[in-house]
Amino acid sequence: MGGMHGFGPVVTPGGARSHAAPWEVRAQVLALVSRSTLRPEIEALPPATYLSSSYYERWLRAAEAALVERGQLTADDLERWRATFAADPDATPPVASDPDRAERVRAMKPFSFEPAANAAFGVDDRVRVRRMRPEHHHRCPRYIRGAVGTVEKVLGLDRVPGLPFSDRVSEPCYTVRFSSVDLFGDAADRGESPYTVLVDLWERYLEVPV
Amino acid sequence: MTVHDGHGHSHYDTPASRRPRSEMERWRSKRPWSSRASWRPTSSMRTSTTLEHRIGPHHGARVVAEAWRDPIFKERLLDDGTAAIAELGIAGPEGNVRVVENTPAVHNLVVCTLCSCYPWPLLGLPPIWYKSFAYRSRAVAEPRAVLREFGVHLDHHIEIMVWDSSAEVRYLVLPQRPAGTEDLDDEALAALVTRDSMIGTALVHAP
Repeated sequence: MGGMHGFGPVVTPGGARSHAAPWEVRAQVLALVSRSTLRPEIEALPPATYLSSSYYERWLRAAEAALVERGQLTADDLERWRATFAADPDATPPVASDPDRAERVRAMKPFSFEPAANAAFGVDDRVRVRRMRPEHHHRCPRYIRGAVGTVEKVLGLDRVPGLPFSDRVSEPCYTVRFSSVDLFGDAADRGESPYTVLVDLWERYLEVPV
Repeated sequence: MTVHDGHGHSHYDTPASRRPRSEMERWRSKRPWSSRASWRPTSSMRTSTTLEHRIGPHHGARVVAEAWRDPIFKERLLDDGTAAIAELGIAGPEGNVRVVENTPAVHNLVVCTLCSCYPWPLLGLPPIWYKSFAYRSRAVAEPRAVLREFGVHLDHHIEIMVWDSSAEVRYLVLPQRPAGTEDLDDEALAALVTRDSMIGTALVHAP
């Protein structure tokens, strides 16, 4: 969404909290214990749904879609429970206990990059972000495509996002530095002197500029 | 956001749900879920308590205070944030950390334009504004205007670096230590460090 217009002010009443209602934290936890980022499912929401849903509504919709796809729930289950709660908002869902799961979530380790033995690019190399229009989940922001930047750091190997589950391909990731002028033009008239934007990118998103 | 032609289907009928059956079966066979009740509300409540109360910006503030107090720790922190914070017992998912230092010449700002990536083990859950379309779209496009909304007015000679967390690295801003804090102990120093100062939308002020 970098660079898009029309979303109004950043600072709004109540915006300093992390969530606005208890169900939202439960939606967050649901995503955590589903052991998936849910990014592909969130991004697959139709644009009008994405833009008109709140942050945690998007997670909940994505979690439902993911659970149904994995066979954890059926669409009928969800409809049945919706009808149950619509008829009786105080109804309680079944509760099962797994006391170790919170501990397992807490014990999850941070991600660690493997060293990249055959990185195509090195620090200070100029690179251009490829033009692309992928349909699948990916992590290359639109606002940098076609821009030329400079490698600031070689991060190491990471699994390429958005490939089919059976395709576990890892490749080098880089922190790439861009001038704001190359991304958004000269904005002196709007009071923005040039600044730097740094984005972390997989090797396949980059090419040698000619 | 992917471009996606809507047919008016229910939201279950997404491209993800149309993946080939054999791939779904391979996926399921590799996951230990065996029953529909795998999501356990009770353990979820404990996890939510952890997320809401036990993890939070007080962890990041400890790291900042330690870096201010100990220049050798600060060197380690800037070189390998994940390892340095582990020395203080801080680690966890979304915890591959790079710390970026504010100086009199450079001001750093962190965003995730693609979703809401955030250094959970250091700062807890992100604020609503960090996850908003407004911040995601404007932080990379007009950082000074966004900072002004937060009451931060930077001189034009100060270089701004905006870090878009598009892969696995989670960024933490090391704010400048305010003058007049030389005599404060660790706890008092940490108490000055706000969440927003570690995202880059605030400065730290002396008491």
